Amino acid sequence: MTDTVEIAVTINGRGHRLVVSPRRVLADVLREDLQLLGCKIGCDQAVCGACTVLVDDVPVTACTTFAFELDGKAVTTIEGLAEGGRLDPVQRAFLEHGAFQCGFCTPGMILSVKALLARHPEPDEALIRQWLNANICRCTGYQMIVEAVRAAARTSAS
Amino acid sequence: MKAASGPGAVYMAGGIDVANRMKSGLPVTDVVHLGRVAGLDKIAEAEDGLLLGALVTHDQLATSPLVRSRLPALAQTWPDVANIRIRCKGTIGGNIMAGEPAYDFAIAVLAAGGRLHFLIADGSIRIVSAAQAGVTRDVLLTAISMPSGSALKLVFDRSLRPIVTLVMGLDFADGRVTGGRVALGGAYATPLAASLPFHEPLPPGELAHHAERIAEEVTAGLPTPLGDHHATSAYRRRMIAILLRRCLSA
Repeated sequence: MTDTVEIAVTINGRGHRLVVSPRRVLADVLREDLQLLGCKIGCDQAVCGACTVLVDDVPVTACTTFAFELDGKAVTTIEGLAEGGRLDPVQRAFLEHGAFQCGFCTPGMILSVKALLARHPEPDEALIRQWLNANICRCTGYQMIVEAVRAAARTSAS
Repeated sequence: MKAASGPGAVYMAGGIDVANRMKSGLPVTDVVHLGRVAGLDKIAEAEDGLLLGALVTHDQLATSPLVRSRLPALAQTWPDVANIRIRCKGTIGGNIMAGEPAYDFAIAVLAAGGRLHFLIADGSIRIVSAAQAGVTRDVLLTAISMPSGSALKLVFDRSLRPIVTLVMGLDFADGRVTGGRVALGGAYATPLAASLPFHEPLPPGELAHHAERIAEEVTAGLPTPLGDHHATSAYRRRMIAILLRRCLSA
């Protein structure tokens, strides 16, 4: 295996050329090299959803995505959602509905919701729960999260 | 390329299993990344059913209009498989080649009587029945062919995951059930399939009358299921019989 791989990747709209070990996963590159600490590492095996980021607008687990896979792709982390100091509608809905407590799962949850609403702008509760069934939250009990998603969908539709 | 890289080389499709196994200490020396190999992510109609490229993702499977029309039970089940992140990144080929006991696509292919298309070292393609293929990491799975349409009915029961997942595939000819298979996930160290004992072709409406006999005969012929912290071996065997009877009666 080669010692390093050079990749060109867009992260939160900004182009980067990175030299990475082929064994490194995206979560480590985001957190350790780029200080994008919103990408949380929970289970570290693609189960809990805390490390969810968007790659070309598709939700992926950064803990099981090798950095070399990102060559030529665009990554969105929670730090890339707000524009000009204004929260994204999904972030605002989470805030207004009290859809988080400790906040550890929240970045992954919000990015999963972004992907959900991009594909299904008006999801019903069953679909919301289906998409979020593997974003594990140990605080809220999910009801307020579901309400926030529905509110964000209404905002996006109006 | 993999052969030239030596025994520590692995193929990687979606990469979720490869990453997790490397974290667990799998001694990988080289990764052959298949993610950008063109043409392996297509779903196409073939003469005898559907031809699914090995790099088709679970999400493609869940949302493909062709799968929905030709294998409706598969399309209906797949939005509930794993989670959206794994469905978007994980591939059906990787699902088979991982050899994990509870992976869903592997047992779907077994139940369907599907065939696996392997690229072997001399560059030729070898097509083998999924039931006989086994998992060997020295060959490259390129596609999966599955019967579809009126020739096959699949029935899934995932209600007892992770204790056991059952998929039943029934073969149809002239409107009658002529044969079938049951495939089991989670109950053995690797996915396992068994033939359903039909003494004669049956009208679908009569299946329920034979459900008990078929379920008991199949279960009696199975090897001893796993016993672990999820369930005892005896419980798994009993549940296999019950789930199969339900599927036959559905």
